[in-house]
Amino acid sequence: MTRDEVSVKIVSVFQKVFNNNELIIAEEYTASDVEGWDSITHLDLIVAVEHEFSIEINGFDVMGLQNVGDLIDLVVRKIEG
Amino acid sequence: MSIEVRKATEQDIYFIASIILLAESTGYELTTYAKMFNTTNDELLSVVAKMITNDSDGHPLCWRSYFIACYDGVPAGALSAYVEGEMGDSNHLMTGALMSTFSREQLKTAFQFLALYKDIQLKKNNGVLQIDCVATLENYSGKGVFGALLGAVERHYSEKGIKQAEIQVWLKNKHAFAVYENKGYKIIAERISQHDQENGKILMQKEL
Repeated sequence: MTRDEVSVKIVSVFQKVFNNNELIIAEEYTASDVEGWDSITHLDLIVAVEHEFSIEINGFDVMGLQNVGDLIDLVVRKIEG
Repeated sequence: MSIEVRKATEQDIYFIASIILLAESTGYELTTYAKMFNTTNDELLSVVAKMITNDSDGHPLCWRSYFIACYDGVPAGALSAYVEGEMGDSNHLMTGALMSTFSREQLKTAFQFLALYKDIQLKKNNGVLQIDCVATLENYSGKGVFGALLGAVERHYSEKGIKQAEIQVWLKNKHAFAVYENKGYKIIAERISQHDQENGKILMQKEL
């Protein structure tokens, strides 16, 4: 899977978790750019990403994320194994 | 008598863990780690110590964000200080720290509990110094430890160009409110809990 394909799927995961099909997500987005992206939703998001890509994300991975682009990079790294 | 304020080191991890739990022991908190994980502070001490032994920064669940006040060379108080957004969203970083320590099942239950109090969540402002997990050991209370600690931290960040500091206080904790008001902090937001109409959270801010 290419990085672009991962990116498209990540946007779809965000839309499902936030229950908003219109939600626009950019790589530079952080929690302050997305209404309701609190710690509770963050855990839901991580679990949904794990399921979508059949990967495991640990707490140390999560502490290395600063924005959506970092999450895409993490998924790419995990898929490439 | 002398009070010295310094950045925390790895040797302070157990002391910081005890401060985190002490800061949640005033009796006014609607949400605490003990309530989230249905356990006691005694049982949590070693767990919290393990949790904050990570190399991240910019949130209250890592030792690097702490400043220690020593009274005659002995750790007497501490607080967490970080600039919101500097290392990422602090709440998300805390989620990572919790994930590194607790099982998914434990976290799911804990976050379901937290979700009951979503109405009192206050947004931390990006670029603003966040003061969190503040406590002084009882033996050193009233000896100027807190004032020295807060003053030193505010000066440290002011010299780095940070313009404002924020702290969140439980609405019922009138003592904490009075202390921060006395230090120049003013209320900028308030949330009342649906579960306890007399309690909630206050966000106080100060120009540095």
